[in-house]
Amino acid sequence: MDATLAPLAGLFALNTDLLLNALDDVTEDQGVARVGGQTNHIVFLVSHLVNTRHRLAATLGSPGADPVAQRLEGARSLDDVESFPSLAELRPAWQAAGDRLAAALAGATAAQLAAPVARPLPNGDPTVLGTIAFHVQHESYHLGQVAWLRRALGLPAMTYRRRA
Amino acid sequence: MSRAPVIYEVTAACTPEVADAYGAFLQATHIADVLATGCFVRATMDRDGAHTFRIRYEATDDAAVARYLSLHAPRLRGDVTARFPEGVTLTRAEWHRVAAWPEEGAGERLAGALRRTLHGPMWHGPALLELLRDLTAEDAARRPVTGAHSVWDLVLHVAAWAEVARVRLGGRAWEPSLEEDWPRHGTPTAAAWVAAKQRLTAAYEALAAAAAQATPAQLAATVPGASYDAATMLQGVVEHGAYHGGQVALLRRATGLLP
Repeated sequence: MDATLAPLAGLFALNTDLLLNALDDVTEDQGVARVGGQTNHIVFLVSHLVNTRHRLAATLGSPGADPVAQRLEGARSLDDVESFPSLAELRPAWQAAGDRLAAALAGATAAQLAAPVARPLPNGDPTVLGTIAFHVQHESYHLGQVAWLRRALGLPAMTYRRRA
Repeated sequence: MSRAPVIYEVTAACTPEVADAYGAFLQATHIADVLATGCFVRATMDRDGAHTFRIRYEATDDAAVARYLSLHAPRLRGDVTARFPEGVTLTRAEWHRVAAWPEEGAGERLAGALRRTLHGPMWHGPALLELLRDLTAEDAARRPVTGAHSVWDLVLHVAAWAEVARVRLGGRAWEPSLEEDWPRHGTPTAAAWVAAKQRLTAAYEALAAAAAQATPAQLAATVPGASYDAATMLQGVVEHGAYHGGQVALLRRATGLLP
């Protein structure tokens, strides 16, 4: 694997585990609770993360289907989504998205990573590698939010243990 | 339109009477406001030996500069004029980068990511300093969730880990104590809150500067006392800042203190 990509792939793998840890013992009702009536809820955030992982994998040419894409299509916020998947659906969907992305990253070539993307993100690096770097930062941002939400819902702090 | 990086350069010739105040305004407010538009990826600020400042904003392409000029420049220029109606003469120029020595490498990319965590632009939400800018000391010290950290706690914690990484990048092992990991802030005064934000900024800027200068061999070297390399550690600091930045954003939203 490309030396610059390796730390990013490692962080994606870490985030795969940490998000599952953050979802431990979260009930379906807690998954759609909005703290203070204002925040996004866990189910929305996880759906968004599943969706972005699949889109990133697709950017790398990985074949596969995104089970939440249709539900989030055209939505710019939580209130635009008509129906959400359950947490019972999202946990395996997240793992599957992680597996697809890990395989795509493992197979990425130097030429692929250096190629320009059609829609550069605002990090000054319009390449596929830059897009990957931006996505891991994006993922960490929302992972932190899911971890915070579980505390706000009265659950114990997210653990940092790695899963088998 | 060119896809090469574009440098939007502003030169400010000041009278001696306003130079220091104008420099402070640039450093504390204006440059962050320009970066917050999302049109530029980084900025540098220089001063000659007298009263002239040069600010260089780097954009990914011409389109980003055009977006800035049409959507944001009138407001931000109006802000400058309102604060400094006289004593500052501005000239502006655009430059297209032809080449750079050395070429931007992994260290530069990591430095850019560290600075972006602090200043933005971020696609998914405000960057750390954007989230903190108008938060009072009292609000920063609030704990709306029992047993969870305040914004202030998170700021000091994020700063601490950038400091730890800076030391480790320098070749020294440092496993922070609980007190170093989650520093306590004492009485929440306005001055202490400003100091906390300055500590965060200084920690990230120092780490970014060190990352930018790190050689490929230094980035590939195993971190003292750890099992991972320096590049992984630096990327981890980027993610750590983003992780807690997301939490600050939610804390603000949950308590009705939207940025």
